[in-house]
Amino acid sequence: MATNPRTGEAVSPGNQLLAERPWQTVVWDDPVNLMSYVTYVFRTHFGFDQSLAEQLMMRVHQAGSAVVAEGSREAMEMHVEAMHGYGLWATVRQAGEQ
Amino acid sequence: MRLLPLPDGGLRLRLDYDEAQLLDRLVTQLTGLLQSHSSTALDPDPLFASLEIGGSDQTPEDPALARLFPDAFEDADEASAFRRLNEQGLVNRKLQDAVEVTSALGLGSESVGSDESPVEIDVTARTMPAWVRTLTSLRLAIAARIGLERESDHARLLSEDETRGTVMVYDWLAAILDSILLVHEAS
Repeated sequence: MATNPRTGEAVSPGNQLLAERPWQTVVWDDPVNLMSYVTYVFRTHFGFDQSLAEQLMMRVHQAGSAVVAEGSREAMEMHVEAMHGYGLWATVRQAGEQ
Repeated sequence: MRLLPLPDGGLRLRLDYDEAQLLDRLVTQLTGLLQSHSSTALDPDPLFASLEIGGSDQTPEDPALARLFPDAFEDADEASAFRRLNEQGLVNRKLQDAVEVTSALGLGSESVGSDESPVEIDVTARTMPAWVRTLTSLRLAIAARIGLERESDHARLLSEDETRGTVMVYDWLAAILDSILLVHEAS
């Protein structure tokens, strides 16, 4: 079972979520990147299947942005660095920030 | 420009000599832009190149570079810290990708006086990511240069004499990219 590194107490995933808002990888719409390319990047980097990759791509395109991953800050920074490597416009934020 | 799927899942890109020359010139310009923003010599080993740290800590003033290396955080201090850690590695990887494309085109300095027959390039599973990322970098840089910021800008810039040629090149790059992805998806 996981333990809290500071107190040594056992933690369950549910408590962890309440204690700390997760970090997010946000991909933003831009007029340059092709829909086929954004879908390819989501499939290649995140390993999403075609249908989920397309769904997220459409959300980016229509809503202007979409959260494509959630987790630790370090993991989100790695995703955003990878997105920038592909030329997608992506940012790290903590859940709840706008 | 023509694309032919290969039995092993790769594809063959056939460019007229003029097209290959144009693409080579564009990628060379991209390389120059990236090098202007690089603080280290390119390490020929891609592993070490991607580990390189020591980027700047400010959003580039050049709009093309600013789009290739966007802020990773809304907060300026967080964005700077991320940039210091990651930017040089990103610059190096984009440079490596560009080298992959120009060496596949194989024009180099020998192009002067050589015969002007079409250029055929096999894009394999290994080299495909470098191709699609480089075509994307070119489109992002071109869009930033001509001020294509919204979808509606495209039609306007295409109708203006000054930018029409550039927009046509931008669309041509999109057609290559889209075709590569289409063949890739089908295989």
